[in-house]
Amino acid sequence: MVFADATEALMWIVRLAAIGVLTVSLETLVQRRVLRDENLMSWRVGSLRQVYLVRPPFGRWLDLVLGYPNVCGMLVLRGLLAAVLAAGPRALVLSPWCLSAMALMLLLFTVRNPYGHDGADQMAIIIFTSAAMATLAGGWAVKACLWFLGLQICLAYSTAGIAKATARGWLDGSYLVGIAASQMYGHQEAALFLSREPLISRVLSISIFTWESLFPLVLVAPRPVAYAMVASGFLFHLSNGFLMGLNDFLWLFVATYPALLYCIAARGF
Amino acid sequence: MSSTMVPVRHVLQWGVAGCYVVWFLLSLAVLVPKFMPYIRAMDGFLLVPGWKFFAPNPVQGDYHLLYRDQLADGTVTEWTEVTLFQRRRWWNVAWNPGKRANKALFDAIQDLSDEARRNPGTLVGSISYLTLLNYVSSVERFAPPAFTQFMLLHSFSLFLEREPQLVFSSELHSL
Repeated sequence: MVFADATEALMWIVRLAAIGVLTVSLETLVQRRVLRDENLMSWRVGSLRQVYLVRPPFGRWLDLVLGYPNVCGMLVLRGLLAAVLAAGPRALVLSPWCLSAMALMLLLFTVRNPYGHDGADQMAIIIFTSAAMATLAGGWAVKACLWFLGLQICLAYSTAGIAKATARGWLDGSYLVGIAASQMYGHQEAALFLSREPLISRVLSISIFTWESLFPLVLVAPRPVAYAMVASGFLFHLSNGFLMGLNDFLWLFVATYPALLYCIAARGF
Repeated sequence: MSSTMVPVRHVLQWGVAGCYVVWFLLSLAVLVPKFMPYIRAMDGFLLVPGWKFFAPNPVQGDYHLLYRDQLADGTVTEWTEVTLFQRRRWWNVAWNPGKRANKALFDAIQDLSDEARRNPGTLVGSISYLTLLNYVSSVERFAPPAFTQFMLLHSFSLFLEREPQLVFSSELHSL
């Protein structure tokens, strides 16, 4: 059975997520000027939003770790740790200390500034924090972690899908055209095509939120259907990576799929 | 394993499982509008996810950040756009370093738009306002200005027949 062993499934989750974190860390280092004090993800400005971020002694410690250019050092460390978790020996991949260190660095980077983060960053925090807890406790806590991650990914898709289904723009396909027409998440050829083919835009739009809304059925569907749904998720993120540039979602959301496969194998039917 | 380790391990496992349950329940509760402000106020580490991707009403088109300066002699410059967005390339499916800056600008602008609607009186001290002011103040210029201000426009870039709309215009700030 695919990923019937809980520890094996968790190891694959960590490895896949680590590839995502490694990619994101390298990307941020390449564009590290955005982290400078005068730029959009400034620690100097970000630290103003809560008193505890500046009050000594915690504030001084945060200054040391999160100030520029020191934060680049943390990103280098994070990248190195991600490389170890992605390709290293099993003992390190499932080490609560390594996983806790990764979770801490992800959390600190999120605290640094409220802007510039996305759902993939949130999923990375959830994966590594929950994995650290599971490996620290051991035993059946690993299985509990897999069910937690499986339920979180189902919640992620169904929340997005149901929220879309309530909006007229998603029902008539116009929102899909608007997103495709944006510079940030768009794709010019796709936008032009969809704007000329409103019926296709509508069908595609309805298909997307229907798939998202029904995704939790993967936990109860017959196995062939469940595996097909998991595979469709991979294709969904691959296409988003091409069309919208959401490459981090491809790694960090698909990283939770071994948890889904474990849940499908473990449910007993 | 000693006899005392076994109960400790059990307690730890139940404790972790309990954390997962609470965490998942909070992930559900944050979707309820009346609970969301309280949960978000406590969630400094953003551990409770917000999964409403592009939903229910995603931003259509693009935001544009522009600035202009008032020089020491009183001259006011033309509005200049701060260009950040990089054109999509096929390799962005694997490598997309520009997305974080794009997202940061988008987030700051979205936050400012929301803040302008909710708390216009305290807008100038908000993190979003300070972020954008800090950013435009540091953009390289040919001549050092005495004052600067920024403006946000919203456009449908691909459909140029639609005029860009003004979202927000700041006061003049001394540099």
